[in-house]
Amino acid sequence: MTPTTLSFKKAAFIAFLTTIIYVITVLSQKDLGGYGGLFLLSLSPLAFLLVIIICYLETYLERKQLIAPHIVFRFLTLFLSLSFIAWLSLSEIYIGDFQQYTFGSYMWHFGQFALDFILPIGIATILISSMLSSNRSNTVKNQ
Amino acid sequence: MVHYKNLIPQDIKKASYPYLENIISIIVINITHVLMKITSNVYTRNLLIILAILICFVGNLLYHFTFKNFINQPELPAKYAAYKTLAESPTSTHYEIKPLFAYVSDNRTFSVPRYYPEEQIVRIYSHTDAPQQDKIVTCYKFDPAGNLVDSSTSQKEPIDAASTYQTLPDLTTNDTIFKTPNKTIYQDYFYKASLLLPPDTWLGTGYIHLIMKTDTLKFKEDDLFQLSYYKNEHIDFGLLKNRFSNFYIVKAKSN
Repeated sequence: MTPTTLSFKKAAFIAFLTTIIYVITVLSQKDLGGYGGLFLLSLSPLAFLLVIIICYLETYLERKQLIAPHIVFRFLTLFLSLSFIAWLSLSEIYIGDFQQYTFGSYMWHFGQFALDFILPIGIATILISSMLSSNRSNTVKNQ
Repeated sequence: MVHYKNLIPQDIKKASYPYLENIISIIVINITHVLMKITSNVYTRNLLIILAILICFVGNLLYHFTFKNFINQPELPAKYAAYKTLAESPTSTHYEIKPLFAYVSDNRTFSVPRYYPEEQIVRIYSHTDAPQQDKIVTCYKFDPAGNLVDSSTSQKEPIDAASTYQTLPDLTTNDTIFKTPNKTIYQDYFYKASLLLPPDTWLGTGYIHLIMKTDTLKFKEDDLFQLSYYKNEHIDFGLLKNRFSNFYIVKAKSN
């Protein structure tokens, strides 16, 4: 149940699938046409590398008994921390200071952020955590 | 059960400079150290971490909403509350501001008003946003008193020789002119609505005084940087163009 070790092959496969999600997300953003979209697409090797690092970090934290070896816990920890980091670094684009928002319009702006970032992060982290939780390759080895 | 004390000598290698791995393990061990005191169950520990992130997230959202969502400025002084917008036709004792055109459809754009000294006439061209062959250009002519004399339509905007007309001096090409009190038109007060560009560029309502001979016309207008005022010494009226490119005429009361 506990993947205390992670093979590079598996990490690379997870990263590959997540990079596909990343590319699809970038392509589906219509207002990123032209050079903005091309620039983000050129960053996909970086996304690949980042996901490998995240996978190893996750297993490392599990070894250190900070993350519980369960799909829900893996998902929630990763999803919330990544969304929070995204929000901290990107909130300026969506919500400015001194705007006198009503609560409704504030939540609308947050909803825009959620649609653009939290949704793809959610899909990617569901993939990562479920792949980390599946130990089919281990059982094959054990047999 | 992990004995964190036993982990320390293995994980923190006594290197001459801190490796990234060492920094991470120091942080992890410290967090584990704190959480170990609370609970020894890995699931409860993880739940606490999740709750902590969630509280930080929601806290950050609420912090932005409550503490960074208001503008520290005095209440609008009572005398400005009665100021009218341009569309509400503000008046003074002898002068009034009225829309230049009774009805303007959305797909029309207007040229800058031009003054023709030989004919003593002001012309404004307007054209529809249609492809070149369908474009209809309308030319409006105004006499120095501000009355519409003539309007004609054509397919093309006539190309004027530079010597035959002069553009009416645009008194307010940018908002800096508003800020320095000027004899003709100036901003008396500004009420902020939202921050446009940090640190100090604001959107809001400007309370404007426009001086026509002995009178002062008072009105309010949003997004001042797009407001223009056209006037010269040969004509008795002034022209205001707002951010929706609607024209308003400033002239003596007709009655």
